[in-house]
Amino acid sequence: MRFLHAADLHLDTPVAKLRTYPDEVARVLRDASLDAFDRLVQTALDKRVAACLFAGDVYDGADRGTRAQLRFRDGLQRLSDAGIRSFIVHGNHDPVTEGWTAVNRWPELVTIFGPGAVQSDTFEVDGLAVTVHGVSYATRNETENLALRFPTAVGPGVHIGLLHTQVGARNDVRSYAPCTLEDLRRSPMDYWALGHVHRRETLAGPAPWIAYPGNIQARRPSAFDAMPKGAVMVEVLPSGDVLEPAFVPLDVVRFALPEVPIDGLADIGELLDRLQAIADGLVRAADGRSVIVHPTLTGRGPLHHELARGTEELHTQLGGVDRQPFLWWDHFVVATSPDVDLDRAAAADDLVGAVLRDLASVTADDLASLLAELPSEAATAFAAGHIPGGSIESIGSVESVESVDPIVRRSWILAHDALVGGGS
Amino acid sequence: MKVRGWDIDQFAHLEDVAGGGLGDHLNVIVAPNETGKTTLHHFVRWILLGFPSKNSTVLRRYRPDKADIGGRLRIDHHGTDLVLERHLNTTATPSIRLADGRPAGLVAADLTGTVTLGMYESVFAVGLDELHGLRSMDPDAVRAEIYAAGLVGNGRSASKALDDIDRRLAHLLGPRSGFLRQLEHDMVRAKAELRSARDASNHVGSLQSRVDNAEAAVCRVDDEIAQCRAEQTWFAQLGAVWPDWSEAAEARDERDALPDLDLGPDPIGRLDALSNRFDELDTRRIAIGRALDRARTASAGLRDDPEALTLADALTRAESAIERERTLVDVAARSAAELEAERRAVESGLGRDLGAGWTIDRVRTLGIGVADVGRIERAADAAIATESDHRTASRVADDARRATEMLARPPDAATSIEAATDQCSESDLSELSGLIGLLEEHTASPGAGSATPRRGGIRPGVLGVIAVAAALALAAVGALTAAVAVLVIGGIATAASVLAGAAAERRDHGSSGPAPDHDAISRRATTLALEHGFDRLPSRATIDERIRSGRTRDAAQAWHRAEEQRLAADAIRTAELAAAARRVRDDSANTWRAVLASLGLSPDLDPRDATRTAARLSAATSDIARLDGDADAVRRVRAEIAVQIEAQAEVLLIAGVPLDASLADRAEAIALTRRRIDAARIAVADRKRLDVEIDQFTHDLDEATRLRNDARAAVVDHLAAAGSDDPQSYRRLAAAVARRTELSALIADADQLVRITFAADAETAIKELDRGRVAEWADGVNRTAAALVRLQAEQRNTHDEAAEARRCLRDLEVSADVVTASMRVDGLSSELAVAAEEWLELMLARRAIERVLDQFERERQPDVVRYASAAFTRITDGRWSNVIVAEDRLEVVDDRGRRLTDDHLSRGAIEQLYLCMRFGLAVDRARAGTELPMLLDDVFVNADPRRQERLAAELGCVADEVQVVMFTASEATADLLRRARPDTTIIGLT
Repeated sequence: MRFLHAADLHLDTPVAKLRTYPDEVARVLRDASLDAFDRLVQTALDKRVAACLFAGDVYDGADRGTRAQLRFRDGLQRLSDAGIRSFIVHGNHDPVTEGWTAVNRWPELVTIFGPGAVQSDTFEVDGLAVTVHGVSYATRNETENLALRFPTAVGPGVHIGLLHTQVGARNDVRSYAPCTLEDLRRSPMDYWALGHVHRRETLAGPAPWIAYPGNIQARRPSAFDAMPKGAVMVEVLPSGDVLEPAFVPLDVVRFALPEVPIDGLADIGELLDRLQAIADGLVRAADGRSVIVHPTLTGRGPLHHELARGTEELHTQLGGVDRQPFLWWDHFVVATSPDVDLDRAAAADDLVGAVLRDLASVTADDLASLLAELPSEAATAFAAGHIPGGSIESIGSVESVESVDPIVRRSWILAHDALVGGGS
Repeated sequence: MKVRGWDIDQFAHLEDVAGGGLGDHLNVIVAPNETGKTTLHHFVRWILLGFPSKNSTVLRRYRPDKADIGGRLRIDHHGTDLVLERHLNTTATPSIRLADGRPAGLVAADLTGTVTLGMYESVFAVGLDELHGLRSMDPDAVRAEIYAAGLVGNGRSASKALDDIDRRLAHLLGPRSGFLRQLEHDMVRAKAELRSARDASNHVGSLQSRVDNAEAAVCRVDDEIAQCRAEQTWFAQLGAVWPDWSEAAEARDERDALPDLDLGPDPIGRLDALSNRFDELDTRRIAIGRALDRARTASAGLRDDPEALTLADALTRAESAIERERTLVDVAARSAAELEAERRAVESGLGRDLGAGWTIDRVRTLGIGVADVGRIERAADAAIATESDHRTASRVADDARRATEMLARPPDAATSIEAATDQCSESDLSELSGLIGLLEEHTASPGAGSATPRRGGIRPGVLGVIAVAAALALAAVGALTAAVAVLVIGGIATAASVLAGAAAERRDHGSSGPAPDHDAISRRATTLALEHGFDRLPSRATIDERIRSGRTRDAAQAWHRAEEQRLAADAIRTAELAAAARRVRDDSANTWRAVLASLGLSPDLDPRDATRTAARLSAATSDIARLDGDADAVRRVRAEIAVQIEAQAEVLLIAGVPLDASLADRAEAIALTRRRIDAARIAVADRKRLDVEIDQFTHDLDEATRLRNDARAAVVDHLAAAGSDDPQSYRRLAAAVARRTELSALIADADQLVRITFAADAETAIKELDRGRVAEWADGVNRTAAALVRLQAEQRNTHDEAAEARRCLRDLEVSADVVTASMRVDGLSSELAVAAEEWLELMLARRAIERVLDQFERERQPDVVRYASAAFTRITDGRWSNVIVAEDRLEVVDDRGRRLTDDHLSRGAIEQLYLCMRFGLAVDRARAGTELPMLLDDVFVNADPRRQERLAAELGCVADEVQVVMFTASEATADLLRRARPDTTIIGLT
């Protein structure tokens, strides 16, 4: 017997943090989460799984688009028609009491666990009794340790716990229904099907295996999302022993954030060759999926001055989206330096050195005063990306210069380029 | 850092060029124009600071065919000799090595500090390009250039840098426009759309319910309409089938009153068919009877001719005999003619008229003789050949005879030889030769003896010459054979002489043993010499010659004898051949004559005509043989004709024609008889045919009678089957039965119509039809029609409502596309963040530059300007006493203390001021720790001689602080600089 464990579908979620892109790319990005779910359904059908487990956050929020709900219902209908059971709990993004539902009647073999007490549903596969235990979030801000509600004693057969939770303290994820590994191990589950953390991870195992499958489709060009996404397939032996969950990629679009050094490159042609080689590698690794590349150009070299004037030429040369699956070059982050030692330049007793030294003394307050000159939306957008807490007002109180340093560094380069010129 | 020398691998047109020897201070590189000064200037610039962009115009000028230009500079860096190497394509990052090739462990920045190529070219390298550039600029641009050079001393002026930054800032955020403002605007709108989408999304559920309700109403109305239509159809169909159904009811009554008999299909038709058959058969029977009567009458009218019929075979034989006889008569006539023609041909072949006595037998005899013709021909050939042989033999015999005679008289040379040799024998002469040899060895000193010439005697080869001469003489008189013989003799004689000499030599060298007594030898030799007719002791050569001559004579005599014998034998054989030929010729002639005689032909007949005549005779013989055959045939024909006439006898007798009548009469009689027989035969055939017809007609008549009777019986039976005894009553009964069948079909059709129309409800419909409530049905149709009108109006309303609800839902779903709206907001937010970040970076840079620029204008710049001002004053010899920086421009003070703007300077003065600014900057940078060589390219060119002198002096001062390399085409400039600074290094380029 085998089952498919997925979580954090966030159906019909917009792919975020992209700048401009052509319609073809927009179409794929808009439908990416739904298409990934379709792949999940097809995988379940192809692999003839006994059940599909969805560990919360099926939808992204209270908005719950009609498309998402109907697509989800249709997928479950296909599974039900094929005799495959579906078990669902709601998480912080789609709590039971919030949002609306366009689906009044769910397919026959679908079980949705409600909030409150842990519910159980048992079915039999080839003589093996399998019981799924689960509980949903009643509201978004579920702070109670729901793991403790799971039974401490169970009957014979295989037992699976289905829960949307935050195991342990993490810096990168908000804590909803937090619990510990010990809390989970207290309940005699054979497998814990968890959701909430988007990075795939097997926390413990065997007996029990405790796993986050991650989300099924990356959502933004970040290091966090620049990896294959999907679900895990779990095999249960007739003896009831559960094997280690195996990753099944389901995503339709992947993000890549390569760092491209320009050191040693003589001209744009050589840079294009390097980018093309990177693209070839990404396309191969994507295995038939579309790829969105968000490159950062780094290093020192004569190309710096050309890149500082803009990267439109790179976009033009690399071409648009003329095939499916596509490879789309998103915004180039130019973090290159001129072919000089800026620290040495800053130490020189001349005007350039003096300007660089002057820039080194820029403070968060200086930045805040400049931000005040910006239109409000621009300032807000900048603050959201650079200032912890995301508000302009808090920038002055930031002790760390982490958010200021990169800007000052680029100001150095800008000032140097403006004063020294492009070398010819 | 100081440059010491250069090694150019390839750069513009320079390839594998090396040079150097530059000193620490002032250096002048002198070379005529077009020898590469400017090229070398750029080479040094770029190897030191790096190449400009590959796309730059100036680089393309020095890079033919995209070559990998580059090379090495030898430099002195704080007292350490280094090699700095760059190549455009392969070593863009320079390599820095020690002089011995080991890595120096330095990078370019260690040598050049923070100076970039742009900065270097602005401060340290001044070329004609820059000066020319100044000359072509407008005054404001010149002022700005000089100001920048003096003020900042970097690659670009600070004001230019600020302009660039301001331009980019304006692009991002102007007072009323700019990219950020556009994004801001888009963002506000996108957020509004997102809010709207979210609001719309919240209404999707209620609108979905509205759609569901509308669609349910549509379904309900559709159902009612369907039901109403079914009811209306029920009533309408009852009304529609009613006429058929009511007619069927009446038919049922009528049918029940008619007899229910089974007469089978089409009883009347079958009765008519049987009656027609009877009539047809009866008519036919009558026609056959009439034909029988006609045949019998014709048969009775035929006349018989039995006698004619009995003649038929005889007549056939007679007709054949007549034809055969006619053929035989023709053959006989043709054979006679041919016989005559052949006879004439034979006569013609023999060339004479054979006359009446020329019979077949005679011709046969002639044919036998013809066989001898071959022999006659061969005999004639033999005679001719023998004649020829005879003539040849006679000619040979004559030749032999003449040769014999000639040999009997040898020429003079041979006679002399014979005379010279007939007195001595060869053995004596050999002995004498040996003795003389011993004497010569004994008396002569070594070497002299062998050199002693031999005297007297005939030299070897003389005989050969004589022989050739004799041969030529004989040839001249035509005696070829004899000439050949003499040549042979000469050859043999020469050979004999040589052989004798060789034998003597062998003897000489072969002698050994004790030396003989000289006197005895001498005496013996003298004796032998006297005996052989020598008056003194001859030389050995003379003796050898005498021996060879003897041998030659013997050989000639032997050949002479053999030739005589051979010629005699040839003469005898030739004579014998001639005799034999004569005999053959005579025999042949006799044979020919005998043949001619035997044939009775003329004895003068030329034997050469024998072949032709024989052919004619042969043809005549075969013709005669064939004619003999034809004569026999004629005899056989005549005998056969007699037989043929006998075959005609029977017919001719009956016809009354005599047997010996002419062939034509007999043929006419036979033809008449033929016609009579034919008429008799036709009569016989007609009778036979009529007899057959009569038999057939009789049979047919019987059959027709039988069939007619059967047909009559069938009609009677048919009527009886229906219980009728006459056709009229039968026809009435059959009509009633047919009507009953018709009514039954009508009733069945009505029943089927109802069942098809009402299908499953047919039984109910039949019950309703049987009730016959026609008025109620019509009322039902009207009632349901009115209901339908009402329901259809309601249907349109509900459909409209459902469509409207769906449209609203679609619109709402489009406007509720939160995902798309979110993506739009998110994208704009990203763009805003990036643009805002760029704006902030630019603003930070701008403010920093402004602050530092202000500080430099106040603190740093005066040093540079002070240096430049002093230098400019010296160069202009006090014409301009000071240079002042005021705000963003330069001002100059003239020798009268007037403060003027720099546009009062001439172009030449501007160039000099520009140079002074560069001098000041270079010195300032050197004092600040960045010491790089200053490269100047003929920068004195626009100065007058006195200012050139002062510029040279000024440059000498600059060279105290930095290494200066001046490129010039002018020897005068070089001298000027050397005078200004004696330690100046002058380097010539070729």
